Amino acid sequence: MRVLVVEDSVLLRAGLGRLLEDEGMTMVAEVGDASSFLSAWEAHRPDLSIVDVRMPPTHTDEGIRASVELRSAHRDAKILVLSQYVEVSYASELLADGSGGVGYLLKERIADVGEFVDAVHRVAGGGTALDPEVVQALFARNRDPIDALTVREGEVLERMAQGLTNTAIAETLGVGLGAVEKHTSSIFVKLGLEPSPSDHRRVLAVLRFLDR
Amino acid sequence: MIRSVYSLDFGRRLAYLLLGLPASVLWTAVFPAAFGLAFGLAFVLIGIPLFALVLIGVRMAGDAERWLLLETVGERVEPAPRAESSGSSWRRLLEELRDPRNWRALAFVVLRSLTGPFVFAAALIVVVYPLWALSSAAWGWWVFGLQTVSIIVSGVLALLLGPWIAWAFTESHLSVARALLGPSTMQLTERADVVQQTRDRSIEAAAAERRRIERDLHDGAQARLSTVALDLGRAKRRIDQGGDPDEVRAIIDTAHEDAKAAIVELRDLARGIHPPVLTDRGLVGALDEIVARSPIPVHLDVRVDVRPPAHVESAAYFAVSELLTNATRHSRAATVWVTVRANDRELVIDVSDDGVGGADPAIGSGLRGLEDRVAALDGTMTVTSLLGEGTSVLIEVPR
Repeated sequence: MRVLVVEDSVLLRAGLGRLLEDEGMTMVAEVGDASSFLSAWEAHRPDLSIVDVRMPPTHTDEGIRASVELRSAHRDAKILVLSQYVEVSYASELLADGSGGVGYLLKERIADVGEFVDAVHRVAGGGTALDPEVVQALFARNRDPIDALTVREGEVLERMAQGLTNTAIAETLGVGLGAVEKHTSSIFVKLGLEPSPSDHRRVLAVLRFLDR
Repeated sequence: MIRSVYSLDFGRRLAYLLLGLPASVLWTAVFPAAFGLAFGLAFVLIGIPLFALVLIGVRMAGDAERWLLLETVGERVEPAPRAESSGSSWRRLLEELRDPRNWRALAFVVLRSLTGPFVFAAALIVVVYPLWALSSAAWGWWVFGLQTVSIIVSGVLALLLGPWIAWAFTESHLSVARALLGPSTMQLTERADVVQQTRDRSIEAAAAERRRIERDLHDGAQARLSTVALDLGRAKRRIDQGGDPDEVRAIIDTAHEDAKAAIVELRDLARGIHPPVLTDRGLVGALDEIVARSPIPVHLDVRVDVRPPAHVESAAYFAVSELLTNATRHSRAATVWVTVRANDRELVIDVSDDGVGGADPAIGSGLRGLEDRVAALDGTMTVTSLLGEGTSVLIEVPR
């Protein structure tokens, strides 16, 4: 897999490079600011970009703005955003176009290499990866998550929002795969999401959830 | 108020009022004659500087009056700040003629000369009348009549009222002295403006400093610790996957080095925020340490008779530290001399070098920022830096 790393700290860039190499991926380029991100993406067309939110010149949300810009031009660009802080609005901006292939993780998640690598693969494969803290912040903001959902369906949706597959959800909840599949289809029905060939329903479910 | 009126204050206030007569006599004896002489000589040029000298004398009389108030009544009248003046001593002498401080002091001295005798008389009556009334009543107690009763009553009344009269008289003197010998309203307004400006600038400087610390943390220790965690995560994964122990060791080595580097970065940052040695051993010890790290040889001469307050000490430390950094970066000096004197009145810092000179606070933001921080402490900073003649920075901070 070919990965573009966009991060202004040289130290962290090098660390990410080592990690990706361990996992048999190649870092096709590493850049340190938003505008070189866009040109590097055009030049290399990577399978995934890992993007820091805070970058020069203003050190605020350059990474998010550049990512949204890139995604509006290239819907198929896969982007995993790394942030120092949980910022729910950043996550919704990224997910707003309704297609998968985006992730939003806290920077410190990189240290849990196994999970981080899973998230990298998931986003590169067109799925989503939302940081558990972002998801929790969303649930905290919406006191009663989607009224019609049962408690268990709420738990399933929370894990879906993080980007977990049904198998992974079944594992974390300690229930069978069949039960999770029943819950997910029930969630889709309650959120009014018809089955579609492209089947971005999981992303759409998260979006419905974010939009409330 | 009642307590202060009836306490020892009575005696001190009375003393001040009684001294009104000698003061009045003195000023009346000196100044009309002196002014007359100056006027008389006005047609010869000597009269004008003489006039200025007499005005200086009036101002000194005002200073004496302020001192008298402090010593007797125990109230401090802040002196009026002097206007900026420059140029030759002749020019400065002539500027005395325009200095409002002098004219306001003159008004006070005239007023004091006119009222002094009456105030003296009032004070005398306040003391003497009750004594006379009560003693004459005591001597003539057998002549019990309306006259004796009225004398006793008036004596007691005078005894009770005396301190209040003394209080009212001295207070009115005090407010007139504050108005005429203290800073004028205009000066107070100007001062408030300056204070506001330096306050705004120091708030801005503090905010900039916090942003700098946040960036230093983010780029330095935080990034380094992130890579440490990342590499340790990689090492764990290698072990779980049954990887080569040498490879795992190499990863752990990298993490170890980064962890040590993070400790050094955090220590340096903490020292930049507040050096622990400053709290422990004061300016002497803390400056010794900066000097020891300076690449240019430094002659350090610190004499602290009275340790300044912590915020002044900290400002002094960072001022010297910054000036030494400047000298190292820009001056190409062979030697730097650092002199620090601290006593119960002020802190004086002098940092001089024998380098190329040409430093200008108007150009670099560093010196400007330093000037702001000194101004926030009510201090002054003077930079002398002629091309080719080295740089000398003098900082004076009052306590």
